[in-house]
Amino acid sequence: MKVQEIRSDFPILDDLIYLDSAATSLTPEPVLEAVLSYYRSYRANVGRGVYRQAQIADQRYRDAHLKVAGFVGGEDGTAVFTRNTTESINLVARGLDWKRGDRIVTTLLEHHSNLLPWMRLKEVGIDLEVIAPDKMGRIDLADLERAINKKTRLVAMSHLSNALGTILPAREVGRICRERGVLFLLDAAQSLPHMAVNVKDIDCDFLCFSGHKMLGPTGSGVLWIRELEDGKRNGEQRRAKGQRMSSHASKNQDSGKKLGSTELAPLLAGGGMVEDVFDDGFTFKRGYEGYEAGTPDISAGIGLGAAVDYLARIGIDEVHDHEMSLTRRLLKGLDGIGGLEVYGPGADSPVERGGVVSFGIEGLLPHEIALMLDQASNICIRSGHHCCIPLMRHLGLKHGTARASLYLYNTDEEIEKLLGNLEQIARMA
Amino acid sequence: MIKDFECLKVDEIKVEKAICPVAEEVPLSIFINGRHFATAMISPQMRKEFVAGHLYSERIVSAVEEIESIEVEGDVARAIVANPIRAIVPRRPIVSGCGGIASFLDESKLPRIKSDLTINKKQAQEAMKAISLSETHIATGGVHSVGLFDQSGPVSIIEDIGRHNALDKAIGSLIIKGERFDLGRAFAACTGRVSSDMALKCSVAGIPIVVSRGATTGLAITIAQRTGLGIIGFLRGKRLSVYANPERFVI
Repeated sequence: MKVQEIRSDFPILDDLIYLDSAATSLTPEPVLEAVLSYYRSYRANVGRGVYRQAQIADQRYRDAHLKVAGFVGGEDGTAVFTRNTTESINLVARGLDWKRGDRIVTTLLEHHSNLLPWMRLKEVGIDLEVIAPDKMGRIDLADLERAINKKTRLVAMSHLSNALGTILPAREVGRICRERGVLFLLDAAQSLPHMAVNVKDIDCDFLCFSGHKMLGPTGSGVLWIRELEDGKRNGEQRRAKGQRMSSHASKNQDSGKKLGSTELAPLLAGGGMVEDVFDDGFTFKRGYEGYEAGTPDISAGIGLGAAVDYLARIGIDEVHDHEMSLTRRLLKGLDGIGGLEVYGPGADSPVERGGVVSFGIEGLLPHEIALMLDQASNICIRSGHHCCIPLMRHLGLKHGTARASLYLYNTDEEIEKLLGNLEQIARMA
Repeated sequence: MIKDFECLKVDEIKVEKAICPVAEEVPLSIFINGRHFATAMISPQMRKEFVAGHLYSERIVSAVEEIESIEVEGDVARAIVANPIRAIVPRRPIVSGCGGIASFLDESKLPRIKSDLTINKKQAQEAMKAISLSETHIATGGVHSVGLFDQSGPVSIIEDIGRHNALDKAIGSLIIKGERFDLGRAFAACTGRVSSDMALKCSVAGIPIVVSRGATTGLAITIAQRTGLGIIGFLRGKRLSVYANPERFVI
């Protein structure tokens, strides 16, 4: 991978060292170009306008969905564009046909966006079982097996911890869910931008991720939904397609109650998503359109398509290898700094991990570390709870952690600079 | 590609009702960058390949990378090509096809084919044999067959109600494949006449030789002389006629 060539697509890097890609990634010129060319040359609403610009906008927006689905090996399923992973997960939480007493299993490692939507369902009588990880962020598959019972409908888990960097065994969990007849939602927000994620391999039913963490514009997120098979599975018809909903059912949707036989009801109803409307109800469109009511963020969608092209051109395995090499260098360096502690898998840990590295320095608050790095050397890292308050409490980290996260545009020199700065900060603390 | 229709069979003695297989023909409207470009009458299969090949052989794109997207929905095909708002100026048709689609290529701007490919009689005969095995043609008598061949044999054989359509589909099927196929190493074989539009398509696509069972035309030969296309016609049994660039034919 030619890092210097890649960096020339990110002129913002001239001014800073960006180590916060787990929060949001930077945007390369080809993606900006795709976004701007929409506004400059063919801006129009999508949904089958007949004039030229509208046709081009339509086709590019549709193509973007296909590219994204193809990127995760999910050509047979439906990629719905959302604003972010949070919205994708909420779409599932609000759209599944829950019954009182249904059970959801998740972990304590989750980002709030994969925890709060499920907590909210407690209001309608859903039980939530939360599995605790160990200090390294690992979950015990035996705990998961035990947590799943007859009432369990869904397991929702992240693929890569945004706080500790640990990679969770998605394939094994997928297999367990399949065996036990339970739906599996994988939050791939932190993994998919950095490593090959294939839904055929993992066998998940819902894959949620953020376009803005994978070089796409902000306002781009994805919910991929497994294509329904003929007949029934788990004793239920796995439908994600439009079926007639009576107005009565639509009202019930608002109160989160049973909703006909629709497998995943749309979060929003309104313009653009209907196939037909009657006096007393409507049917919604098949495919992604049924879930994207109202004018979507068209340029963000098209930009995300360009981001997928960009990553595919470089090769996601190349990206992964580059990041892992930087991560090893970083962990090794952090290991040698007195008073600094790495949270999660460290330099010599055999635990599988990604390029998200959390740490703390004795005597300093995480925010202080981040502030000092910014002021001293324009180094951008994240600090705090990382939207994982329950996990931080579980690990006894009252003020959270400082976190550096890497991406394809980072270099060895940047890692060295970070390490040099941290060494100095730790000495002064 | 084949549909059965009722027909009356009439000869000198009797009239009888029969079921006859007939080649299907469907319209396909091509939109390029949101503008209607042309409507082709084609055999229903391989529409996407047809559009790709047509864009290429009509010089709407000069490389497959310039095709960003092709989607086919019923009888409408939508393509997005490089520089989306560039107006596709309707060019005057200089020739008309037999069925199929008129070519808008301007023969005053012809490329020179960059290839030193030659073929011998045996290759030409084998190619003609290969494309003559068309089941649809035997059943319906209503389709043409076009094949592209390299040194090792056939790489794509296509049947269509139109010769140009079949050639476009053959070109399209090769250029949209992942691995790049060098059309300069291939020759075309065709069951129908080599008219000027066939000669133009081969020249633009960079195919150096075309072999036909049928005749050719004066304009086709004029074009071939300018572009370096070898034209072999009336390939039947042990005979054939070389009409242009005989150096491409090894006797």
